[in-house]
Amino acid sequence: MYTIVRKLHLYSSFFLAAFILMYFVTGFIMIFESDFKRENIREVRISEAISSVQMHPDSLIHWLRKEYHIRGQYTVRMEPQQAVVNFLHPGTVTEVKIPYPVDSVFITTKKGNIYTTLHQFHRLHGYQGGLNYYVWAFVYDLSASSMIVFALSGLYLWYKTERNRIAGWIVLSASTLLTAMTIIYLMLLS
Amino acid sequence: MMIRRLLLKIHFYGGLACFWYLLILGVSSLHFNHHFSFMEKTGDPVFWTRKLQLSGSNATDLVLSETIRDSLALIGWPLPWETRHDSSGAFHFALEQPAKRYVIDYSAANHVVHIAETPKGFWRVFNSLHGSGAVPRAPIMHAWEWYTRVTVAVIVLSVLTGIYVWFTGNQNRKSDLYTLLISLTIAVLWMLQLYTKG
Repeated sequence: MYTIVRKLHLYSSFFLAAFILMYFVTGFIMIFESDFKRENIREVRISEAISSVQMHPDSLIHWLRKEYHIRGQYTVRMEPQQAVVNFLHPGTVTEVKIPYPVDSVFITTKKGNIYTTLHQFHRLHGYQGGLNYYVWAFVYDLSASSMIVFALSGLYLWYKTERNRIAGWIVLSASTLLTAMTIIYLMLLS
Repeated sequence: MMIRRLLLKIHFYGGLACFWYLLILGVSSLHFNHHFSFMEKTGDPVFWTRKLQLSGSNATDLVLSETIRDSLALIGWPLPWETRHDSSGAFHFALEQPAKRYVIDYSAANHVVHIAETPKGFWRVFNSLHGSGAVPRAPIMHAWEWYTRVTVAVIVLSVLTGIYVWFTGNQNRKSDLYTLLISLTIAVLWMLQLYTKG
């Protein structure tokens, strides 16, 4: 049992090391946002006349990808006056507006700086946007699950490895107390 | 040998210190990807009223919101996009904190404030602690803010110390090294591809 748990703890970190480091480094940048300012470094605007396009969301996405080579995950908003589609892949945000009647398209593409890109990598999630993003979302789930695996397996490994556990119990109790007090304070005392 | 033992101790105690934060990160991240409905439940709103006389004029809506919040001894952030004055002169705003949402209506004419307080439930509080920093008027959250920073540093250190401890203690290093290098290479190339091509 000890060997299995130890290998699970180890190989989870081997396979996911790059993602775990990415999430924690980008998380650090997000925490100290005032020191790592996000901004756009380039903006490209396109406005064109278009003849006809099907305004069904799936057809619209397919057409935009084919005609303008726009990539990334997307959200579609069908507003009364226009259709708005937002595409995102880390580092690049593209907004497409097609006002009614459908005779023109306005595309604004913004390229973010390194901190914007890292921020977007951290928040990239969801099973949509194509195979690339489905796999990313799966690896995201693995990384999230690995946090739980590391915590529980690590607790077991410490318990089985260390003979003198007093210091460990003190540290674990302190973190338990802080977490419990924070949740109790927010839920009951705030 | 001494260094290896020391790094192993750092790995152990760092992990124990971050035990609960790791669980919070894992659970909240899974919820972010899947939006589990049981984690999004809120409680029923509770309505209460207070007499409140504010002295002096308040220059901006934000200042007025914060003054009302402080007078009621609440914690949280006033939301500018849910702040308005109505035609009768009453002032409305929403206040958010990790565990509760408040909708507050203040009537300067009657010196009365009506509060609708909606609790968010245990899971929303649990998940909100992911990366959480200071909350206005909540001193305990400064401790959590520091715990967040410590966890980030400890986890990065734990990945590195864990790899070092394994390699210095393991006979069969080559296949593990290849596994690590290949997975690192694939991950980095994939991120570059997402960045350049989407």
